[in-house]
Amino acid sequence: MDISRREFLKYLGITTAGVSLAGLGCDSMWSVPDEVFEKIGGAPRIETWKTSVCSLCSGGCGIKVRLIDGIPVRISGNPLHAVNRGGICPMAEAGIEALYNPDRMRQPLQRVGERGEDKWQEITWDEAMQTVVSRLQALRDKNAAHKLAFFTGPDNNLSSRLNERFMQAFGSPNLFVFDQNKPSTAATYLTQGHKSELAYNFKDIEMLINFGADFLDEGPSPIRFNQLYSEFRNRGERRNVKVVHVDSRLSRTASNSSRWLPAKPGTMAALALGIANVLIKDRNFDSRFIKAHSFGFDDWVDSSGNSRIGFKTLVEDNYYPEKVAQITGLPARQIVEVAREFGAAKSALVLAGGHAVNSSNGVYTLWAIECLNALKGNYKDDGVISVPKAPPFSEAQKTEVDQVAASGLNQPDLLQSMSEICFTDDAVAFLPKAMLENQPYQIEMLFLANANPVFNSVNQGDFAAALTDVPFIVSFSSSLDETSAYADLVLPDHVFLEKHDVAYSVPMVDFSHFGMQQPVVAPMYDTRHTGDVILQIAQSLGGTVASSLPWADYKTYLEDHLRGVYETGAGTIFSERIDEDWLEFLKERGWQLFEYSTFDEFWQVLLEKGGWWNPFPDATDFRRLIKTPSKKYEFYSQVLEGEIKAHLQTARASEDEQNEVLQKWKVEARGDLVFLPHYEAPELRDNEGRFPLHLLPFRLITNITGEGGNLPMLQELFGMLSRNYWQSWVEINPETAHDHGVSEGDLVQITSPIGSLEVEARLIPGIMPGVLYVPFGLGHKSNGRYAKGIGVNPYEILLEEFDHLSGTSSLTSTKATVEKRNRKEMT
Amino acid sequence: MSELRHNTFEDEDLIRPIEQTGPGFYLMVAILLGVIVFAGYTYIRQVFLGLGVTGLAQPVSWGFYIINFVFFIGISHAGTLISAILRLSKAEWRRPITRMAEVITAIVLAIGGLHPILDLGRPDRMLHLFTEGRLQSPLLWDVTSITAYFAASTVYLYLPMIPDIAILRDRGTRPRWLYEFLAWGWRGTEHQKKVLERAINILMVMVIPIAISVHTVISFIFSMTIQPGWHSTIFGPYFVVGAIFSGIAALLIVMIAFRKAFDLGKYLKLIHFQYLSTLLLIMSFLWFYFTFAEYLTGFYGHEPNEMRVFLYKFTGDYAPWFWTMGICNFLIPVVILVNPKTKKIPGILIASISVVIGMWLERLIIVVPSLANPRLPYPTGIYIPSLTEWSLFAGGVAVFILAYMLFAKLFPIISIWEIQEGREESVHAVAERLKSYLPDPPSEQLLTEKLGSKR
Amino acid sequence: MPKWGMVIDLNKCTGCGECVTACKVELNVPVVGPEESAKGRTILCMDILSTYEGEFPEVKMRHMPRPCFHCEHPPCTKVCPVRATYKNDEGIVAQIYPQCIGCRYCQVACPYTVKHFNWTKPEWPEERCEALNPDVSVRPEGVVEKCTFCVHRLQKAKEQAAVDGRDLREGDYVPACVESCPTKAMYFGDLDNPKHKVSQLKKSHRAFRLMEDLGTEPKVYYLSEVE
Ligand SMILES: Nc1nc2c(c(=O)[nH]1)N[C@H]1C(S)=C(S)[C@@H](COP(=O)(O)OP(=O)(O)OC[C@H]3O[C@@H](n4cnc5c(=O)[nH]c(N)nc54)[C@H](O)[C@@H]3O)O[C@H]1N2
Ligand SMILES: Nc1nc2c(c(=O)[nH]1)N[C@H]1C(S)=C(S)[C@@H](COP(=O)(O)OP(=O)(O)OC[C@H]3O[C@@H](n4cnc5c(=O)[nH]c(N)nc54)[C@H](O)[C@@H]3O)O[C@H]1N2
Ligand code: SF4
Ligand code: SF4
Ligand code: SF4
Ligand code: SF4
Ligand code: SF4
Ligand SMILES: [Mo]
Repeated sequence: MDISRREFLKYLGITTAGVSLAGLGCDSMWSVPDEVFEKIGGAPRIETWKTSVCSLCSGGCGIKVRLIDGIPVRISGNPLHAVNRGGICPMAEAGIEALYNPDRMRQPLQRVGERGEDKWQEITWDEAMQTVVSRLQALRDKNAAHKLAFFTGPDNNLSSRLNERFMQAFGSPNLFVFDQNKPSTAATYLTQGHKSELAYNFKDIEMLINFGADFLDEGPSPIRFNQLYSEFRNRGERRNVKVVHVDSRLSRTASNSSRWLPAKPGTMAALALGIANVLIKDRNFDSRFIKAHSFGFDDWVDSSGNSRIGFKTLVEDNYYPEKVAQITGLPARQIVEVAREFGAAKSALVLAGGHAVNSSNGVYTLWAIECLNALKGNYKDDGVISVPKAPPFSEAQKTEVDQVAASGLNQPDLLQSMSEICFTDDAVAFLPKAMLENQPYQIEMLFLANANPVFNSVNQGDFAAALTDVPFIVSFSSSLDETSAYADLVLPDHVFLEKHDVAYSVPMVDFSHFGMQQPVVAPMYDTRHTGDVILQIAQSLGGTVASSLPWADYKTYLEDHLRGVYETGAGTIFSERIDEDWLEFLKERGWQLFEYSTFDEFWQVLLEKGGWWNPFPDATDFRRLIKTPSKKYEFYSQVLEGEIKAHLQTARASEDEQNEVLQKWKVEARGDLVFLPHYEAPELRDNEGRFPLHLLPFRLITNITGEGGNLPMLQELFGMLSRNYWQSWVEINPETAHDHGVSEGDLVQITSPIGSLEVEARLIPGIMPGVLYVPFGLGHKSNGRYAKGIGVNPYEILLEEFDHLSGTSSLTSTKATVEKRNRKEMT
Repeated sequence: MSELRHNTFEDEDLIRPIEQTGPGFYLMVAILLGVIVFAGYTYIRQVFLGLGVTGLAQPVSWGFYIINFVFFIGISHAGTLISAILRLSKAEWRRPITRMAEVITAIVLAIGGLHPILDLGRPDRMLHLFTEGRLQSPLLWDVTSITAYFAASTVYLYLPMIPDIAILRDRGTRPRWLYEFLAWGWRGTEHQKKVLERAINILMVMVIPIAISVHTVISFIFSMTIQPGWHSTIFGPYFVVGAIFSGIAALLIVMIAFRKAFDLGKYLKLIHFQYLSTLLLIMSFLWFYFTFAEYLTGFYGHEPNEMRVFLYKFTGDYAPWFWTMGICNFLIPVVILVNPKTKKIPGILIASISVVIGMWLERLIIVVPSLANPRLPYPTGIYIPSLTEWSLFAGGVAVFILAYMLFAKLFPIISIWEIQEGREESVHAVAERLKSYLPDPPSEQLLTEKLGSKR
Repeated sequence: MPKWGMVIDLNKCTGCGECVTACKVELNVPVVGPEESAKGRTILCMDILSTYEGEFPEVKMRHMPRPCFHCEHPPCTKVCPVRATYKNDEGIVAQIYPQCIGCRYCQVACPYTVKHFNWTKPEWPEERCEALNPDVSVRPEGVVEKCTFCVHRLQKAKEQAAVDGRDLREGDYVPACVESCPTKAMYFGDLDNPKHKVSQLKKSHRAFRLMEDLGTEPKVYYLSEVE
């Protein structure tokens, strides 16, 4: 049967739509008469597609936007994109709403009320720019360029390079990126002395042990990991990948693994070392790699002739399965089983994230876990771990630094002299402390872009207080979030669908690539690309600042960078024809895949296909990257030794003095143990048993750190799996719930030592007894009508606790209690 | 002849309420109108704002409107069916009851029949039922049979009223034009009487299957789906029994109310109540039997989805309603009605009210739990009716009472001519009939003689 | 006559929720807001059923995406009084929104509880109105809706094929959820055409349908997880 067009339209209700929709407030495009439909024959309106990049999380997925008569109506995945291969997640799918959000900022605003009060007045770009430039000029005139600080969000696009460049030319060391990925390179730093982000070749692994990273819901690229985990279970002819997940919550990541090991919160280090214990006892590790390329595995004698204990002794003496079983609450048999399987696998990998990192003992935990990769020899030249190279962008000419800039750059940055933290320079959680104490100096002007710490940090109150003290704050946010409420000026950015950019190096991807973000629609309002604004500011400041940032606009800046890729001829633009065999064929011929006669052609094809990649991962020579004193992979970290020494007053400090700083950093271990990965009990304040439960947060694929809050679709689907729409909830084990008189669906109050929240209870057997899990993402106090007042923000009741080695804030240090509330009557 | 009757009118008591109106009446009308106007307002609001104003949601998307639909239509079996059965079986004690019963039917059918419209998401498209109706849908069977039943039962109510209306016309009761019109030229001639009797007899026979069909097809709305708790062959008779059950209870309540209000003790004697309440008792047992059979098969089948609904009613969220229903429909009526000491008017009133409540709960328990327990793992729904639904329920009841009052204000609530007929003819007829029931006399010849003479 | 059907491989599905979101956007399903959601009126034509089995620590969590099953013998269409839902010749159980009187009989009759009612007037911010999918009508309040198997895409595919002067090929007609599933866990095609992937997959030993005992013959098959 062929339904006639007319009949078909009738069935779909389109013909009558014009009539019945008139009352919906959405009529214009529905009142298209039949004849028009029929004349166009097929598409009722003109349909086009544009590729771009989703920038709602660090995943940088390639997208394809469907436009009807030039109006974007839907986002789907770009199947050509080398990383996400056509997949997108709910965030991107709902991302279309970002364009049409009625609470978007439409033009620059100037604060008229108190800070945080959210009272604004509209001003023109010219006025706004004038204010900003004159203030910046004044700073430079005072020779106080370093007193400008810039807080940006996690951008793996070229605007971060521009920001760096601007800050350098201007003369301030105070550029901070609000991203947890930086502090979490800790283990790499301690064992290898460099801070490069690592990438993994998942194609050949047989086993993966994941310590706490909820990759499927919040990883560095959630959609890629959904694809990977699915592929792990469907390898066809090849053996499936065995995935062991360690965490106290049966997350989606855990449930998509082959085995779930619910270790007690904060004890993952012990488990990792227990596995190491079995491997070592079974002599089931890469002894060749250990022997040739590692330091501190066996006991050793230092230069002063003292004998020092090595990793092997430590693990053998302290982390036998029975003891680990006691610490972690897992049966010893299971630990041995997993360790044996891990040892037996030809190629196996461990990964960590989530609560393994965000813990008061995070560095030692990551480090202990990381050692398993070394034992498995994963750092060999052909190992599964690599450090991908950035695409061959052309390097712009060197930034010119005038005298003002040079003196500014000579100043210490805000965190440099922090004695509370051991070694990271990205411990953004400590910024408020520095700012409130005016250490080492007062910040006079602050730029905020793409970061919302007043909402997204355990010490959000401190952030708010610190911001209140800054004389002048400029926010580039595209919506009025909690942090922007403290700004003096808001210079709204476009939303991602209106912007040009290049998103490169998605975390953990082992080949170099970039995606082309292009405006799929002209800016809807009087907003400006923050990149353009920065360039314009630089031009207005003149002098070396202007000459260091000579581009007319951000697009030119991008083109300039991409010229390098064009000229080297490396890699290839995404294309339909790239399959594995074809690649092999090309590789033999030296991978010069396509040729373009002009750069313009190259640029056009890039925009059309969505990006570029170099399918052949460069074999990484770890020995070249390693910067440890021993020039080897260090089980015993001399890097840490050096870092601690730097905090001591004298070169030959006494043991007492060292103990003093260790105590300040809440490190329990003493002696050699400090420099070896080991298990330390997590920091937990119990207040005499008044708070018997452990409170842990988690994230969902339906919400980015909180930014998704103003997309109504995401708010509605926020907890779609547990059916919590527009709502926060707490996940509790049924037994624990029962002990506290809580049943499914009850309204409960969760109380921590610093506050309480009201949420709905979900009784879930996949939660470890004694633990409360509350999702991050809701509880906005501003950010528009869809976000404000919906759900709760667990940050509000999390204790301010840190891992003082890296300065990362701990999300796992809070104890709480739960109690049933009477449900408010619904009307 | 009618003049004659007028002068020596024995049944003045039945006419008096029509010709005299007390202040209580107006007060009552005012209150009821208030309730009805409020219900009308909430309904109009619902039309404008959509069904969102109800407490319905996913998965419980049917609630009060459907429950009340089934309930009201059930009550309607009070009348026409009972009166037809009693007439057919020539139960002489029926005479003061039939009119009251039939009025219930006509009013409650109209109210019940409107309920599905209250429930429509798009009442503006109601006519689609006629223009695009699909006869395969049980919903259309309902539309058909309810319309038929309504037509039959109003005619069946009207025909026996004609002689009484003629009495009112002849007395000159106001509004004259109404009685003039409705009396349809009744003069009480032999021919007219014959025609009337014939018509009543035909209708009487017709109305019984229609009435049974109505509640059967209402049950089909549920049983034609394959939902747990609904998909049951027993539902047809079960619903009919339940309907008659609640119908009798409603009739008893109405009788007791009018006996009190119009002081009709002379007509509605204890014996009437006792006969009817015996019928109520029988129906209570029958109802129990059906309920028992229905749930026992469900329980023994132990189909998981069926069991979920079963347990939801027996021990789960709906247990309070379920067990209250059991008490109201079985325990209370049985305890009261088996004991001759309590089988008096107050006791009967309590039993009847209890049954009406119990039967309403039964409808609730049939509609909601099956929907609240979907087969797939969705959250089980909670259904809390909104103010709109309550007010429309109250409105429905108010319309019933008001309509009944207005009817009683215009027409005699007890059939005068049938009472008179009873007085004049029944004693003789019953004696004759009794004779025919009794064992035949021994002689074969005598028998043929008698039969012959009868002819 | 093709018989359109879907196969969902539960071993591939990770429960990411993209299909749910894609469906909502493709079909112009409105967001109902916090108050209505709290009453249980969220409309999900594609939904994910999540279940837990076992007790801590031996727990298994399962996800099952659930569209309408487009039953071969649909209990929902049988009961519709006005033919506002019916099974078309290609087996798709369609809804005619302008015809529906909103009695919700089909909704209560569907054994899979997949139908949703538009309890309130759909609302979008004014700015968004222009950006709805023009291929799919916006439903008014008071009618029932459900997954349509994206039948509007079938029509487009047919017209495209007609323009190109060829028959419909496998892959021409793919619903939004299937198309956007990042793990490629869903397949769509003609169940009767032996060349189509779905007709092969439905014969897999892992294939099953939900509540087959009801005799509804769903046209959505699942492939069970491999333990
Ligand atoms: N739904 C949702 N998705 C999100 C977000 C969200 O809020 N919601 N946030 C996005 C953002 S901003 C981020 S930063 C990401 C965070 O997500 P992730 O990037 O997963 O962050 P972490 O959990 O810190 O994991 C960091 C990774 O680095 C590895 N790692 C850390 N330190 C070391 C080390 O020393 N050695 C080795 N070998 N490996 C190390 C860990 O094993 C882990 O794989 O998630 C992004 N995705
Ligand atoms: N303890 C602890 N704290 C954490 C983390 C943790 O794991 N543990 N996670 C950390 C991590 S990884 C991160 S990345 C941060 C995330 O924290 P944030 O960086 O604060 O992330 P968002 O909430 O996404 O805030 C981004 C803000 O940028 C604005 N914005 C959106 N789009 C644009 C745009 O196009 N241009 C501009 N200029 N602005 C825009 C929005 O208003 C939004 O409020 O939270 C950190 N906080
Ligand atoms: S994973 Fe991140 S980048 Fe990819 S589609 Fe989702 S939000 Fe966008
Ligand atoms: S989009 Fe695919 S993987 Fe995600 S939930 Fe749906 S079927 Fe499963
Ligand atoms: S799943 Fe339900 S709505 Fe869909 S065809 Fe079957 S019975 Fe009808
Ligand atoms: S709600 Fe609409 S589609 Fe469903 S049965 Fe009623 S009229 Fe038919
Ligand atoms: S087939 Fe279309 S309508 Fe059905 S669930 Fe998928 S996207 Fe939604
Ligand atoms: Mo981040």
